[in-house]
Amino acid sequence: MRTSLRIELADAEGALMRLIGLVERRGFTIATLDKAAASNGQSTVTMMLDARDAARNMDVLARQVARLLDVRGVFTSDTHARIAPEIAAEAAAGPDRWRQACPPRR
Amino acid sequence: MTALPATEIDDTATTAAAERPARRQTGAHAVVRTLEALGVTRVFGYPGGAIMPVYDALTGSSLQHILVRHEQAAAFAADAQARLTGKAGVCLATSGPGATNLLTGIANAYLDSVPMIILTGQVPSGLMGTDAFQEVDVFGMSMPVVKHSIIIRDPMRIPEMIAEAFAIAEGGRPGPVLIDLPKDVLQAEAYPTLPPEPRLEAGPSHPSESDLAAATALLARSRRPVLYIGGGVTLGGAVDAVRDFMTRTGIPSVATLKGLGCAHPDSETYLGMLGMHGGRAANVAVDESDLLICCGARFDDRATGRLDSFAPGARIIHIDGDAAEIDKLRRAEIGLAGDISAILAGITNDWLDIAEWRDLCVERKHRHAFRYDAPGSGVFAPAMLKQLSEVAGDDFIAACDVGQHQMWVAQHCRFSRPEHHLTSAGLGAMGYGLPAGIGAAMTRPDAKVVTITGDGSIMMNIQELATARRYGVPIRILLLDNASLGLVRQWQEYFFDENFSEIDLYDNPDFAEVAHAFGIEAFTVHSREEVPAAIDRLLNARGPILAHVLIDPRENVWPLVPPGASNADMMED
Ligand SMILES: Cc1ncc(C[n+]2csc(CCOP(=O)(O)OP(=O)(O)O)c2C)c(N)n1
Ligand SMILES: [Mg+2]
Repeated sequence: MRTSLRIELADAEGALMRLIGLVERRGFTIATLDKAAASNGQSTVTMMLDARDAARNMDVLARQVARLLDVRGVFTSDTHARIAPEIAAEAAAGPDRWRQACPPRR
Repeated sequence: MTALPATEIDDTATTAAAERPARRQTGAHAVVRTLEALGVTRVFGYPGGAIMPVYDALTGSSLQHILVRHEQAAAFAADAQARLTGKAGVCLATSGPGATNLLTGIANAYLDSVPMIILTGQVPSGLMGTDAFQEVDVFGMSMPVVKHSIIIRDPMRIPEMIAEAFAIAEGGRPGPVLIDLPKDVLQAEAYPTLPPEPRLEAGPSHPSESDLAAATALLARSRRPVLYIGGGVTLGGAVDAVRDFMTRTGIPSVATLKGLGCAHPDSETYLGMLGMHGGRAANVAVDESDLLICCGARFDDRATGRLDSFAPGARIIHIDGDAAEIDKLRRAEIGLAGDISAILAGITNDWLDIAEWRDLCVERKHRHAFRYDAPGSGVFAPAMLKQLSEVAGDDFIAACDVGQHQMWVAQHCRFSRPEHHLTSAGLGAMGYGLPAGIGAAMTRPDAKVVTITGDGSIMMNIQELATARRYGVPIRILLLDNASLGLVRQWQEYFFDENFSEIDLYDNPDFAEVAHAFGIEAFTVHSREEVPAAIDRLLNARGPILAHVLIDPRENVWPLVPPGASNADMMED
């Protein structure tokens, strides 16, 4: 299943490499990747992802991405997947199509 | 940022140094002064070209530098210190080979969520990316196995960035943080300043009342609940909460390798380790349970066996400090991410009716208890390990290597606290035991620290006997010598048609003689009747000591769940 992920990423050395590496390692292939220029020390990355097998779960990936120290916010456009209880409250906060998958770390 | 008082920044710690002209303060001094200011007292390391400025700045510092004999050992020793204290251990190496030698230790800390700071020298900034001498991209190489990593490019930001690295390593779910230090940054002029208070990660969230009520309701309906305890309990500081929950509810519990020691060792309802080398009572209880309360565990394949037949009839309540663990491998009916103690305290058990189930589990635990009456007069390793941990008592700390001996420790030793069981659980790295034992014995010289190792594993870091000797480390080494890579041999026996391929270590050196050559007291144990005296001698030794124990090469670890099989299908002796 193809899903999109939008990530707000700090403009830090290695941040993009860390993000891409994690997504690939956790069992997703990156079909498209778009990164805007950084402003105010952060930039937005949007990816279309395909899971390598049926066992891969986008919500879990979103939470793994959110653990990265350089990630300021994670949004997913997939409205079907179940939302983990601790992030359900945040779901409403997402703009339109995008719901925030994880609260910011700090 | 506040500048440190002049007395702290200049290099006049000794009278001799006072007579030398004041030295220029560099990035390397800032590194050392920042570590001191953050309360670090000991670092494990090995010098070399790119990190030499830091070694230069160490002179006159209050930091104790422990010179290991291989960088991997620096990481393992720092790891053990961190597991015992909860504070980040620090290791230090040069660029290139020094940095690559650390990688196994970094991966080990990552997979077991151990807070660690790794300082690596790097070639000068201008040479980075040019394949310079001893240049490797350790920042890139280590990315999959660090919680975070940074390259410090501005010498003035050293205090701030190191302080933040410590906060990251120790905060939330702990992990290793690598700091790469280009040589020009270390040599540039810098004014050591006090590190600012780092920004902290958000603390664990608290679950909502409705989530707790849902968990309570699920528990009330359960007739066969089991508490499945993992290493996250220790990380979350929830050992007491788990013990209270067990006492309050009477729910039978099982533990993963990293969860050992969380339950009180004398608890009647604690059924032991589950999984591949788990006991029958533990695996059967999980198999029959209708509700699995997973507490700080991650459904690791060594614990679950075949995942789709793990606890097949159970609903799952998954409690974890790390939200990313929930639903990763097994979908939870209720996922509760946050402070484990608060969550457990919020689950009430007023309607719990499980007396029959609890009695059945406890009866099975006694019926399937391990037996120690092995025939013959040779040393029976499980019995020796059980006796060792019982004689050592609550201060027993085991630093294990990897193999059959590691599994015997897990099955047969008694641990009063989870931190007292130092084992390479996630990575399963042979070579961990000796350096981890050194790190542990330096951290807790008062405790009974014993490295339990095998004839294969000890050879992976045997050079560290020199470190134990140099610093007079109060470490006891119990070397269980079966003249083979026993765990691999056991798998070949059962799963590869007894095709014994490259596991025979018939030509091992005489390990007692090897220890003697390093200047370490050592003796050999040949038979069962020598065991009690050997244990006394080990535990009463003051400095490093090694007991070389000869055991039967055919001895196996039982029970055993074959790879890919369900935990219900365990093989027994
Ligand atoms: C660094 C590393 N290499 C290989 C392995 C695979 N391995 C697991 S156990 C084992 C044998 C260990 O032999 P020994 O230390 O003598 O322990 P025993 O099983 O005999 O008790 C091996 C080779 C490993 N875990 N780590
Ligand atoms: Mg062996």
